[in-house]
Amino acid sequence: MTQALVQGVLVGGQYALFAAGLSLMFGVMRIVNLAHGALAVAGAYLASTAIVTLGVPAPLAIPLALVVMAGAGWGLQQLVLERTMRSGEFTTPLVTFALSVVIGNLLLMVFGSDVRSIALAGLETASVPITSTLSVGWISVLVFVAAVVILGGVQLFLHRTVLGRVVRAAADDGATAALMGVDHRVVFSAVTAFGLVTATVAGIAFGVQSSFDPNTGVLLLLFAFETIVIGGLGSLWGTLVGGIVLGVSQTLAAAVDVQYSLLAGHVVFLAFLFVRPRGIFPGTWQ
Amino acid sequence: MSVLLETDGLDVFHGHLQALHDVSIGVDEGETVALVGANGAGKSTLLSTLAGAHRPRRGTVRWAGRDVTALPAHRRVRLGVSLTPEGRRLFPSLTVAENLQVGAWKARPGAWNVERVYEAFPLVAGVRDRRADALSGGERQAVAIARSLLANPRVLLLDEVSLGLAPVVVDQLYGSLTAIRGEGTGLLLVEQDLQRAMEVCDRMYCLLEGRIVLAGRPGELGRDEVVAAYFGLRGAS
Repeated sequence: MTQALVQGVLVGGQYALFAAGLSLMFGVMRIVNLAHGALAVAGAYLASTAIVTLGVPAPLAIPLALVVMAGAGWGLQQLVLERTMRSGEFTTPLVTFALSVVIGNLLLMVFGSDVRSIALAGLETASVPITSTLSVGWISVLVFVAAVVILGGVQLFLHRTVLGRVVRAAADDGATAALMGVDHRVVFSAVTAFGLVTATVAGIAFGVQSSFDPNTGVLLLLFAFETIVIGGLGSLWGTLVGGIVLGVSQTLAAAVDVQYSLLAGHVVFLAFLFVRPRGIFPGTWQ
Repeated sequence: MSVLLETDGLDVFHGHLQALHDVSIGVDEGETVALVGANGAGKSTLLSTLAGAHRPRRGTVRWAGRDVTALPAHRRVRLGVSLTPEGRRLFPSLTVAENLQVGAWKARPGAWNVERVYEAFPLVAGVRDRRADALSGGERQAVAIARSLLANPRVLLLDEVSLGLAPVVVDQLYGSLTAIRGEGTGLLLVEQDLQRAMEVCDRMYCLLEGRIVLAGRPGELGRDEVVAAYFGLRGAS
């Protein structure tokens, strides 16, 4: 029972990490990026290919993948999302959905449908004993810490720094921010770049703890959305709490019977939609 | 005095609708210019074209003699053009102090900083920690002007200074404008109140249906002449 609870909280960190970029992009630009999951998986493939096929050491390959994905995010915003944002609120979800299909198929073409995972010199199986009967995986602790640091860092950045306030101003009203010398396209591109960096961190972390194939992105996107809805749209701490609620529901159900794990997560998500549709911390920063 | 901000033969469109026809105006360094005209005459369009938020179809905008027609709004701020837009347009989820910080983000060096703005705008100082969406109309306008001022503009474009505000608040705001003019900042202001506009400005332009129909110094223009131009009664008089 305790084991399941602790595991659930840590799995929640993984979900929060996935949802962080999605939540940030929605909060700042009102963009629903349906390609978020596919892009996370693409990031994982990038790191895995660099490590396995090209033989780049992991401590170098992972930052490299992050830089490449940041660049991809910048380009995605400048070339695609900047246009879709101007052409009606349904254009961006449609275009990013198409993008997720394209990315999934490209991954399938290039890498085939074999399931992969990322090996990090034994880190993926190393565990920390907490009590004599309870131990947790190092990597899942690391992922949880990463989620807290990223979500907390973004929260602090947005509310405690001048640049963060500029980002929020551009989010409120890009045209007026331009009158203050803010180029909102640069701000938005930086946000998307950062969003994809967090997605890639999450994708790689998932690849280390579990395994992925070209279609994994769809499932990851679902978890990310459930996390955000449970936690509250546009609230970054809510995202962490939402991830934990989802993770704990899944692991507790799995302790009863493994086949109920995913189902329990979805049921809890639906329950929130009925009882508290705006989530635990409804939109605190917009 | 030299012309700082000027336009030459501006034609500006909103979709298919032409909002400005062949508009040529100028604001000198340190001068206060009033822009008057009825609703829909194109005053706000002219200001946002000067600020770079609107692109003209024909004609040029020049800054100190340099053609800046193609320069986007966010880069004109660095030259010294600031616009306090129609409707005030504060960032609603930010506090007043945060709004001011964003205003000062790309500030040129100059006389204005947050402390001085609080001195010149008592209305703003009193609400600095409040969220911008919890302000009254007068407070909003004062914050919007203060926010533009923090960029240390050489020409400040002020849209609808007194629209919808109580007379006592308008008096306060004009008191603050005196401080701005004292720093040698040029002002181009849109004002519904003709009397007040003629009192404060060095020069004025009257727009009617997108065209400049009258220009001159208030001392040289009769009030009746301005009123006639304002309502387009020229033919009748």
